[in-house]
Amino acid sequence: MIEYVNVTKQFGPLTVLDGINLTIKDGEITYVIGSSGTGKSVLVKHAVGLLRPDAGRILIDNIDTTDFNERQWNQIRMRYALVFQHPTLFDSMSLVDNVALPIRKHQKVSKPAAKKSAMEYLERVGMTTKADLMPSDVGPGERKRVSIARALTLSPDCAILDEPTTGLDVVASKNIDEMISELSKSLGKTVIVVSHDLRSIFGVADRIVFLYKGKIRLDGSPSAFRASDDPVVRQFVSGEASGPMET
Amino acid sequence: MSKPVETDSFLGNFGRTFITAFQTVGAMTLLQLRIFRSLLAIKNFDYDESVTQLFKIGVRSLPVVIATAAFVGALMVVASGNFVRATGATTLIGWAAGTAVFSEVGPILIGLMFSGRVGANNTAELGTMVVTNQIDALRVLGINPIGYLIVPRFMAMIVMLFFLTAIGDLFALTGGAITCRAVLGIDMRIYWQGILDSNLLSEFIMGLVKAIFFGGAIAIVSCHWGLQVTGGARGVGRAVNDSVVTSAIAIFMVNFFITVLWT
Repeated sequence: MIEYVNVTKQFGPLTVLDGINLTIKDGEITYVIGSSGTGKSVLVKHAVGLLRPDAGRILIDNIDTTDFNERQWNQIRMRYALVFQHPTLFDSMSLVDNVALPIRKHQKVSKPAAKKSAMEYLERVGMTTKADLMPSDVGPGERKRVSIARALTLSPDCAILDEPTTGLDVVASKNIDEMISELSKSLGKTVIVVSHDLRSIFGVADRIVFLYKGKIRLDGSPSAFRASDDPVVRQFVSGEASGPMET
Repeated sequence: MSKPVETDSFLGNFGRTFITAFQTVGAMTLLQLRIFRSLLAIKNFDYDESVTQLFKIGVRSLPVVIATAAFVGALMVVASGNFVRATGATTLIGWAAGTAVFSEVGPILIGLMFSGRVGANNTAELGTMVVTNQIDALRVLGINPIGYLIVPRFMAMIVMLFFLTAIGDLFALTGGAITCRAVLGIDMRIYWQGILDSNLLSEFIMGLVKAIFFGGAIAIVSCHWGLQVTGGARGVGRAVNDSVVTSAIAIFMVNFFITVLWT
């Protein structure tokens, strides 16, 4: 469980998060949505200690992590795995070596054993045939799938996916959506997804958190989101250019 | 009431440069402490990454170092040639070349070549990893970037510059021997005998000690600037430039202090 208690984050004069109070419950698929620059990625980076709040507290499994050092955060990161918006594969390694690295480092196994295990994770995301290619040799969708496979090697309790379907074709997006559902429904993982993709949101989410101007504008189920009469939410759902929403 | 110093005045710029220099030295010292702390956690030692770095840093630098060293040796012989010919003290040619190559010119020029090739490459690689979030990717995987990326580079640069300097010394003396015969017309045996008779073991060891400290300094400097990169490709270019300049300054400073302490 992740709790944001009155979290504020500023970058220079810009207040990106403004007193956020939010609790992410175990086992849920929570979508954090909002227009570009509203602080969605900033919000999830606080959950793994990549950013620290200027004010407020971050509680993970009821433990206050706000003042954790890097070593303490490393323990949290083993259970709360973040996949970045842009796939951050190590470009000097093949795809299978990318996935094998955390296995080798954390499970203290030999390189061949780590590679064998990595192949199993790559199989889950349908990337075994390209395992020996370098990240630059495959497309962005495939890199994202490998990034997700690499994060899953930690066997996290919670997967945090930052815009996993952005820039992907419909079929690739659908594959990612199915993977998100499987993580939650079959494996019982908590999944937090940052997204703009309304098709994914309404197809997969248990809960939607809509960020607007650094605050939570709406927090509820997909049906509550659809039924909202808030003009800003209505404009986001309809995707109209004109309306009350400031971008 | 005293008038505040304008930020774009000479004094303002001087003060800003002074503060920045101290901040940089402070940050490098902290990085060094973090490296030493990671070195103590021997269980986190990454054998694969260390072997990769030893190969990349050492083996691939060999041709550049050999070429540099051979010409350095040749240059030392040519530089002392006029004096030797004028006085007829041909036996001194080995001593002159050996002393200069072992203690000063060899380690310094090999160190500068090393910083230009390895240090700059290291800064660019780490800087690119920073701007493409690969360092953060390591952190979210629970892998300490200092232990995984920096420690193997630090160790590899120290070990490899030590061996490269030793090999470079050999090629510098060989380059000197060939030049001695080809340019000055002095028999190579006189040159080699001059080196052996001069008992240059202390100079040779001092050069290797310098190489160890140069390797450490280049590693700290290049890793520091690589990890500090901001601002995309332009930032990487700026960091590489800062890395090469700072490494050169560090090499000359370290060289001065070791020479003073040794003699």
